[in-house]
Amino acid sequence: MARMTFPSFVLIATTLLFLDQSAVGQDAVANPSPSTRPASQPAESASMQYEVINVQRGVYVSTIGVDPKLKAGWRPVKVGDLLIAGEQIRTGMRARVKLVARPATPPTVLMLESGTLMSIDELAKIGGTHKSRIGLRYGAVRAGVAEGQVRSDMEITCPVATLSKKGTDIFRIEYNLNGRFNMSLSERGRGLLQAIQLEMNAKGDLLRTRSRFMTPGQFVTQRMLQAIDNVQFDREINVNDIFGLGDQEQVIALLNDRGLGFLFPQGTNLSNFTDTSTTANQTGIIDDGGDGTGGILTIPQGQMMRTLRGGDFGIGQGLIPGIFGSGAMQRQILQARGRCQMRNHPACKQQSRPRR
Amino acid sequence: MNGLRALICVFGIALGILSVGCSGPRKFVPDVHPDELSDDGFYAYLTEIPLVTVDEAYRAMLILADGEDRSEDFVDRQRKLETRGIAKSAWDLQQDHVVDTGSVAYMVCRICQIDGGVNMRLFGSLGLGDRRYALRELIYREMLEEAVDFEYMTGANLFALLRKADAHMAEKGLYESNVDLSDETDRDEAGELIVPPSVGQAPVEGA
Repeated sequence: MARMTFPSFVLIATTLLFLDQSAVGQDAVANPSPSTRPASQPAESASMQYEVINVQRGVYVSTIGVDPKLKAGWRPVKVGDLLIAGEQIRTGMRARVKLVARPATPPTVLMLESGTLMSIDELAKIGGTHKSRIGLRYGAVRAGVAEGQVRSDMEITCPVATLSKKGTDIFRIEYNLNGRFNMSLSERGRGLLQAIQLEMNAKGDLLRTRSRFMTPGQFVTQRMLQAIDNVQFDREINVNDIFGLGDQEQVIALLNDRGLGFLFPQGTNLSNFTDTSTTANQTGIIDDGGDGTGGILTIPQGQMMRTLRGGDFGIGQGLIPGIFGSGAMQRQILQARGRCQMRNHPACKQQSRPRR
Repeated sequence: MNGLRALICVFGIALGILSVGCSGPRKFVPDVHPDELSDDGFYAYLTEIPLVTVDEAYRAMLILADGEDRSEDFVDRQRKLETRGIAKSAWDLQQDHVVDTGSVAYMVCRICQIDGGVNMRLFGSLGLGDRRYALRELIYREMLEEAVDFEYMTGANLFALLRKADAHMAEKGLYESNVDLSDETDRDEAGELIVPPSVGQAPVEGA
């Protein structure tokens, strides 16, 4: 038997090894195992699209990556067009577009406001879940997703934050560059909204995330304050029916809404509105159960009403006659402020109904 | 007398400086000239520039006011804005200089028909602090961030301002807007979200 040389041995071994791997590959193609299945192919997937329902003025679509400043690569959007993943939409001044997911399970509606650049990064139905990933470069997007038989997994990401919804409609996300964003859920909205703020260092590495949940009527900005802390920045506009309000109610509206409380002798001191009248026909705002007349508000028996002394800048009215006040009113003020400790004070010498 | 003369000279110099202003040409050179861009492209262009020139601000104001800008050059834009009372010739703004926040705020208030409060109506109508009060009015309305009227306008701030001004105009009915998604228009009586049916091919509306 001829002796096998080393190179021959290597050649034969390599050939045998190659044949063996080929057999494995063919077997893998015929019967793919989980380890050999391509990673990009999900178990069950179906394509989804956004159908253009309504268009207002200049709305354009292109593939992701096309420069939004240039005309090349952009085509105008018209009603009935279908938008797929990998495309971006741009709206100009006074332009808006309304999109609906097709198939409409779950029912999903999107609206892009003017001055918006949005990309559809992912849009597919995977394993019974409608998955959508949307990128918001700038502008504002409103959306509503009604949970149905198919679960919806939607995230809208802007450069500094991500919005994640939990069976929610109608919500809004706005990003106006400079790191400022606003996410909100409408007053009659449903579900829960989660805002996730991304904090990154100068290199772009993610340092940490902060999240806030929002219920209907709440909003979150880049400050990531709790909803109750945002309320102080949310202006409240009172609309009072001046013909339906009573006298005392109109005065309260005047004090609280118009800032005219400084004209009254006691500033914002509400002591004159307590139900301290001795006449049965007069009714104050606060009903302390004294003389049987009713008021709008009721304070428990034995509880003192705290008067606000800051409304008149803390200088007190003293003996200065009030602009709209009267002697009886002054006595109430002084008694409320404990001035009747000054026994020689002329106002304290007159009798008045003791306060509870 | 020499002291008085010196004091008068100092005041004169100060007034001269104040009347001329502190603005100057923008040093940043964009990679594409804004005149080569369409109105939509110009809108996106604003998001990429650090500072805004007077010419660019004028074009933005015309787009905000009319939805488009068909002017030929800066002189044409200036004439249109000054004729309509949106800008003032007394400001003496130069084409390639950086625009200040106060001037932009005043123009936006004029376009959006925001009259402001007492100070803006009383003193602003006389030209005393008109840009200052216009800026404060927009800050109050949360259309602009806290700033001073002589601060330079950045592209990002102008873009955000245009978006909010456009939304304000739509709410006010200054132009017709029929695309909306809100509780009032997209919910049925039971409060459920209304999903529009498929429309197929239909003519574009308002293009």
